[in-house]
Amino acid sequence: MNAVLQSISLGILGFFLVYLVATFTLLAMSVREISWYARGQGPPRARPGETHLQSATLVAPAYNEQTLIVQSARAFLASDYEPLEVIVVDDGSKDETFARLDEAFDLVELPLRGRTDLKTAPIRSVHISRSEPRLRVVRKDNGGRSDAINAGISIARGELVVITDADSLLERDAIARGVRPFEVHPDSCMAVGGGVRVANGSTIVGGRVVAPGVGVQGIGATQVLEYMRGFLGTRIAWSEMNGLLIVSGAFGVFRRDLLVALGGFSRATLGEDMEMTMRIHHLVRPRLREAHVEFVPDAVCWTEAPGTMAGLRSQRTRWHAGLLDNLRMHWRMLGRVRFGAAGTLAMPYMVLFEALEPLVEVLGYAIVIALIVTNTANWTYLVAFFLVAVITGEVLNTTALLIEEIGFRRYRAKDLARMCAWGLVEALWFRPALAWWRLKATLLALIGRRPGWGSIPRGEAILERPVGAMGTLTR
Amino acid sequence: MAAPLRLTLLFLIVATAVIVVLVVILIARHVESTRGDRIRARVQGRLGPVFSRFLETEDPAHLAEGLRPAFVRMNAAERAVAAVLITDVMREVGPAQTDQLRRALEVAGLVGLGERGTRRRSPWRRALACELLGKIGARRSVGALLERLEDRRPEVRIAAVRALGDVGSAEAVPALAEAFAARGVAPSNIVSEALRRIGGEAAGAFERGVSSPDAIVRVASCFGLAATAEGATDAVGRLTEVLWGDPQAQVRGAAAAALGLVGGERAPEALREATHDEDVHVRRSAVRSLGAFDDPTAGETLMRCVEDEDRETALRAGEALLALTRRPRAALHTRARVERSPAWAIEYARKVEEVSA
Repeated sequence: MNAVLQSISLGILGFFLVYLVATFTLLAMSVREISWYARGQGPPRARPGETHLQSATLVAPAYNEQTLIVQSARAFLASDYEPLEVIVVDDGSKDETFARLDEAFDLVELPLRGRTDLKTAPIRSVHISRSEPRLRVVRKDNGGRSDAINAGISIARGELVVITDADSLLERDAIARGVRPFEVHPDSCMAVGGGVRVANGSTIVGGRVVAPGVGVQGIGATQVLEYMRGFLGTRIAWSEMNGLLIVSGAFGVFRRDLLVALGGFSRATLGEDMEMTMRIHHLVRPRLREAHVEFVPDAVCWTEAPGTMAGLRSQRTRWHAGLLDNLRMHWRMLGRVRFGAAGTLAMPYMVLFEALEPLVEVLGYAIVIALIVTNTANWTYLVAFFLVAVITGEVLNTTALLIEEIGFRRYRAKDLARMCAWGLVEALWFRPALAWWRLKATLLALIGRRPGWGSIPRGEAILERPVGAMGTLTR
Repeated sequence: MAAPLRLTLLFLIVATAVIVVLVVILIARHVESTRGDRIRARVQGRLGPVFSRFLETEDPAHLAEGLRPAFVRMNAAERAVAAVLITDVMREVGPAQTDQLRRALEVAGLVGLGERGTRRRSPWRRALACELLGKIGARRSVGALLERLEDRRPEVRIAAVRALGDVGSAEAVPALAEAFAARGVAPSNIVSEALRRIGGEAAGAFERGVSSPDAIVRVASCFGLAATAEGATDAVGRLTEVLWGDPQAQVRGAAAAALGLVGGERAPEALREATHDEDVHVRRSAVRSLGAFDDPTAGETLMRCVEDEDRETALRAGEALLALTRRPRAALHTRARVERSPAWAIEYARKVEEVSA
């Protein structure tokens, strides 16, 4: 029995070491690249005649978003990118989403005929705003997020489509920065992912994050750090290698003609954003070697992270189910040279350190519990390994914070210290919880069940309050 | 102590040391950024009055006299901040003042500073120096920028190409034309933009470009020809040839869009023909371009296009028809047709126009 446990432990240790080497390599690459962002690169210049400056349509699907929808639509319209069209797709909301938009923007119905490029649940009507003529509102029967996005793409008239969420807050220059790779490589840039940051704890005025911050609550602070590690720590490096497998649904820019040619976002998975990115690699790269998907960390979108453990569980279970769906749908890319780094590096990384990692982690915890229960634990080793896990996590966290500080300098010293502190204890509660939920999602997938979208209470952390009440909302 | 435990402890010590080093760097960076704010305020304090005086008196000699001692007293960090501040000022002033400011900056030694910067070791400093030289726009810096077209870092080459476009000197055309055709120096779109900013002297590069074996160069050349048409021998003729003969739909679409920008008597005929193209992108571009001409015969073609099976082509045709109703010659032939038409695309365009008005 002991021999078996010892073998498994050694296996876990080996897995851990490989993970460390891979992740530190990605972090080192990101640190190297971030110096370019440190000096700031301007948005694209307007060109003579402006015909070459690609038009963009922002598509924001909304389902029961009455609380935030007007604030979000105003924030989208405040973008400094031109020419821009904003489409809010009301995906059969049962609440006052449409009524609030109608009241705020004085909507007028447009004639709806002609064949749409993508098949979706029936579109009931399309509206234009009298006060903001760049705004369109599409009303349709409920069909889910992918279906709503596809309806938006069908109505969109821009050459580029910016996909975001109705509860996301885009920075004014986010679209201008996000379309920059298309300007530089109009022939080969297929999609661009923007940096997504957690707004919990920040000060929001006029639908904009005016003072980034980190709340005192661990769940918010740890997610701020986690997003930073994910977006700044690894995606910059994957983008450099053209191995980026996910353009986040919170903020991504795509060529409209490509989305139409690929049949729009899939309804067969809960991770439709990742699926689309993988489909681009899978279907386009063998035909067009230069095709690439980029990540632009300074094109920033703020999002509300779940503020409760129940909300977090629902989100992470869904994400993991989506990941497994996508790996299953695109497993043929695994290890194949024709897909470049996406097939040879990113896919194996995803399989090992995203799909299988919860299994290994929970197995590790189970062994520890078994050793304690059977009274065969060597406490010196246990404490030492626990410290290794904590310290290694903190090295990753501090490196991510350093990338943030070199490239963006958005947080105050107090916030950085708070993140460092929460990073030290995340191994005690955050990581085990995530591992357990993701393992449960894997088990559900194995028996052919999948989690639904669930209901995560939204708007509490990012809803703008009257200025007088701001003190209680923010730090 | 057992060997694995010793190894674990060693790992812990090293990892903790790494964290300490990272935290120290983090604090240093944070402090430096605070120091950066102070430097910015200091430089602003020194240069602000000098620029205010210049904007009042518009005397470049006076400005140069004010800038020179200010620069001498500055260290490297302050000069970098000053460079950014100066380019901000240049963006805000009019063309006449820009010229005076440029002369003053040359006299004050900032151009020399930028030229030396293009040879710095750090690639982003080289790129920043190129950017600064481009913003200043002094012709004497073309040589230094041309050297950077061979930089090993693509970011620096792109910055140099853009800066050459900003300077706008014809001296850079041969090198940029070569870079445009070869595609190795910088992406075609960036080089084509730089050539367009130079103007008519660069038209030759685009005339050759429309025959390139590379489709993306042909696309960029179409738009380039439109922007530099005054320097080309026969821009409309070349674009019409491309519109009728290019095997790639994206290139034909670009030619149709470019014809809409160039104008000319012969363009509408070619565009009317292109509305029959099998590719939707070509039809969309052709329809939009037709709306840019005061062509009485375009109405009939566009009335057919509002029934196009492609939604976007139909919508653009509706918009183009409304545009024609406001043109002196075309209005006579178009207005009645548009008013009588039950086409949804026209109704859509009309409603959007009403709301936007």
